[in-house]
Amino acid sequence: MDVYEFRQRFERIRGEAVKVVLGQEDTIEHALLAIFAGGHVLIEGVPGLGKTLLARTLSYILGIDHKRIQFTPDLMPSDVTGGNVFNQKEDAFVFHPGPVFTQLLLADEINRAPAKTQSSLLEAMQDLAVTADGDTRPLPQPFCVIATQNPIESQGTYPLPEAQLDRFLMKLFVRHPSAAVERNLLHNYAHGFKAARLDQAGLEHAVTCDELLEMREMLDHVRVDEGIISYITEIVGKSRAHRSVYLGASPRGSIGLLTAGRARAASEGRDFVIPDDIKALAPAILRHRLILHPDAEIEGVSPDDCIDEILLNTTVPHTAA
Amino acid sequence: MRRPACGSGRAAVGLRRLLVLWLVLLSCFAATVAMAGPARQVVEDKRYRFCHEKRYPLYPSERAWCKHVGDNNEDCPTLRDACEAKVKPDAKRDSFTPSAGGDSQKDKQPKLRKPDDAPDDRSAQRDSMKVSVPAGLSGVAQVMLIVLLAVGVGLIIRAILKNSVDGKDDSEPLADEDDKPAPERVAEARRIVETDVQRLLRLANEAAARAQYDDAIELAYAASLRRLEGDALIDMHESQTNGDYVRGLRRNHPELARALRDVVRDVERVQFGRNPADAPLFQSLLARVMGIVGRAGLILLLCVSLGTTSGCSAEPESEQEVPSEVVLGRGSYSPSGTRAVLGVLRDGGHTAAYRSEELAELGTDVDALVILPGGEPTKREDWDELFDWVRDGERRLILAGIAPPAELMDVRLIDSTVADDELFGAGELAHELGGLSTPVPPDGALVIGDSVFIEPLLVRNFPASEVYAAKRTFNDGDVVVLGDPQLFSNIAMVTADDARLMLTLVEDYQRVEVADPWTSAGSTSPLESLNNAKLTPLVIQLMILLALFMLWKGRAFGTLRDPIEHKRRSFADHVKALGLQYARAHAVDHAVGSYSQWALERFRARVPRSKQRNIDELADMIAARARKQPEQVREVLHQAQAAGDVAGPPSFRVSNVRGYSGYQPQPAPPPANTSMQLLRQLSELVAAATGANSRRPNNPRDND
Repeated sequence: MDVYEFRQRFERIRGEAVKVVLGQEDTIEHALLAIFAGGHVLIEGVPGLGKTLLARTLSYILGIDHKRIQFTPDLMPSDVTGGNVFNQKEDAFVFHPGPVFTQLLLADEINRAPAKTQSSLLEAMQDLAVTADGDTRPLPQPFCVIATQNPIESQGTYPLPEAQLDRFLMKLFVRHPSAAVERNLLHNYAHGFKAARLDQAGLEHAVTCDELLEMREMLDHVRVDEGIISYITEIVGKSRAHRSVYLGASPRGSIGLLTAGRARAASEGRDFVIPDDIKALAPAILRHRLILHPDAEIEGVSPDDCIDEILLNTTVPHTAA
Repeated sequence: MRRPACGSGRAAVGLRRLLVLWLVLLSCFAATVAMAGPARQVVEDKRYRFCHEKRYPLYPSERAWCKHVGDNNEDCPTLRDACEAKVKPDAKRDSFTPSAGGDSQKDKQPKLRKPDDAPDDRSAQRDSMKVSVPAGLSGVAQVMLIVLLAVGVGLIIRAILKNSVDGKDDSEPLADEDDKPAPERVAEARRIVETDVQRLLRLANEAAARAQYDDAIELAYAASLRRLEGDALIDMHESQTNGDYVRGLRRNHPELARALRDVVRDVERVQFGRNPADAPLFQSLLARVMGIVGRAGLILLLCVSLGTTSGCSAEPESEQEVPSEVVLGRGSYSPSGTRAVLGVLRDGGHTAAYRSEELAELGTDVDALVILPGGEPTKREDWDELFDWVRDGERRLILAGIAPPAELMDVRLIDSTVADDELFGAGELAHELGGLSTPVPPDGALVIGDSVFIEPLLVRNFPASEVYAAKRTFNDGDVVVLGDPQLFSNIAMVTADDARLMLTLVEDYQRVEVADPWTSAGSTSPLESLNNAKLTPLVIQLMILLALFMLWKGRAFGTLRDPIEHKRRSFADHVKALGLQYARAHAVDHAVGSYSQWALERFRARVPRSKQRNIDELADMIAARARKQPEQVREVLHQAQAAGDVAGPPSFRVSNVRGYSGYQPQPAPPPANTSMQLLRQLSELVAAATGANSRRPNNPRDND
């Protein structure tokens, strides 16, 4: 498999996704890049913008299994990971896998569950395994978490801890659609589209699970120039030294930039990463990793502002300027 | 008692002496003024350079006046020196040749006019190098051309200075190029912020010649970017990626964006990919780069060609367009100009002005009209109207060097054949000029026809028969024709008594106007003005150029930038934002509770500790301070305590305070709809009891 085939498949997947999820092309592209890069996605947006539909659509198109967990305040970690249950017939404890044992997990409204429940995903997201009662069980491959959260409501919500946030490769914002997009959306529904019945929406499985894994492996062959590595290092380093940032991006953020940059390069039919890949992905990969000083927050500074400033002050490799 | 008288007598004598001395001085001064010519005050103006510069260059025709200037001309003290200096004026440049002098009018070449109030900038040939202006351009176009040239020269000087001051990086590497090894030169060129596109291309070719294709491709690509930056299509910055440049071009220049994207693709393949740079790739890329670089050159060529066309359009289309007569400059301060004539007329009590409107519009507002060559009517009917104007009133028309149609007044202009400069009065002037010296160098003369109504007014070589001026009466008005216009020149005004002669000619007429070639040259509309200045083709082409430029660059010529966003917010904004957060979270109770706790703390701080054992005692003290009803205050404070207990952390709750003697079961917290009312009541109490201005009084928004 080469990058051209990767690109063809990627375009096919994207083409299928945009049939159903209208007006979210960038979000779809970033989410796909995260999936191919082996990362997880945190989608933030107000209710009703199609976050769940996006996750379900992707799982359908990618031909992978998916499960959904509605995070609630009384959700327990074992409700996510599963646990050992005593089987009287066998007179032994039997492990009942939780919904995390899937290939694409939709963690809906993840910030409604308390921190201990959120933390149950830490191992799964990082090590792709679940440990219960001393036994570590690997998760099926590929494994990807798409979590959603509502930025408006604050009562009864629990902000994600930094460790949890850092495990998401990207944080994406879903905006309200434009009037034209909304009109198309209504046309679709008027013609019988039902979000709950994707199998009747004319979608096709663009790739199989094996093809997806093959595409992931191909990314290892995408070349990363020394200048690109320096560029990533400089960006991440500056995020830690920025005057408005209390806590900068972690090395996991650097790795995320690299892997996602590879995925973006391949999606555009290149077998090498260019600075544009890094620059285009930096906001999505770094914004949830930056913790701002309180005074900067009061000033109205956002992580995206800091990232823009960092990018503006970072010299791209091989620049002619 | 006499001493004062004696003293006053001395003072009176002193005063008388002073008065006599003052009278003597005054009489001397008056005599001096009386002896001075009428033009003396006029030519004191430094702009009459021929009266203030000893080496002022004079034309031969102007030199003809020199023998009458006198050794000690008080009106024009340096004119004698100018006459003797014999400095030649720049014949190619100077635009004024007097109509009088050795040359006949027919032989004189067309000259450029001078605008109104133009300074006399005549200078000697050896003064300095002067800019030659194309002869076919009109006056305004000349000025524009000169301004453009000046701006161009200024820009060139600025560029030279800039390069010499802060652009050493451009010049020094060039100087050392031959001494340095080639790779170092390439590295240096890359390190230096290189802006010379051609030099970058040359370095790229040199690198390619050394088989360093990586460097060659980077340099060629840099050249294309520099060209685009030079055309203000992109803003180069070290943080900009190649994709940023392509995207920046895509909106307004999609074709350029495509071309650059093709180049970028190959460049990045070499820079970041595994593709080796080789000669075919470089040649292919260089060809595309030249397409981008040459495109801007094409536009420049288009501009230049348009500009050339514009310049050509200002050339005269035929010989007939060139004025065939010599014109005197309106308002010129040179010896041949006429500015001093008006000054003398005004000093002589006349209302004098150049005529701007057409002669056909002459009315009762003019008593005497002097027409100089170039200002006369061109059509017969206009002449008729002019003579009708003369007939209609007590008016005088003076035609200086102009012969009217023979049907109206039978006089002809001829070249003078006498050597005598002196003019003598004849007819009505026979006695007027007695005792005056009125020389005018011989140039033109008149031949009077058979008409008996025409009488000589001024003659030369008296009593011979060469007539210089003749007059014919029409009803109450008359027409005076002069052999040439020399009498109405600046130099005549400072020569002998010519100024007085001129004044004599218009003595009985209060309002005098002078018509010259500029008369009726004014435009009635801006378009006509443009057309008269022969700028219409230039303006049309400029507009076409601007339209092309707009199509090329889009509606906005400059790079669109977002307005600067001011992110710093005022304290009021923070408070509003906080309030919105509370409102969004429906945290009214929490807000009221927090405020209640704060208000109770304020109250307690104002009351002695011994008198606030419980909330009722505190309320009584506050009521006394605030001059309120104790029951009312008690109720408010009880509600505030209950609200504070609910909203505050557990440590704030009264029930958790160990050993608090005044503990009493607290009433239930106020319902949400009364929370705001409690807030307002507490606020008023705080203001009344503590004097704190916690609320702005009389604010209508408080009730919102």
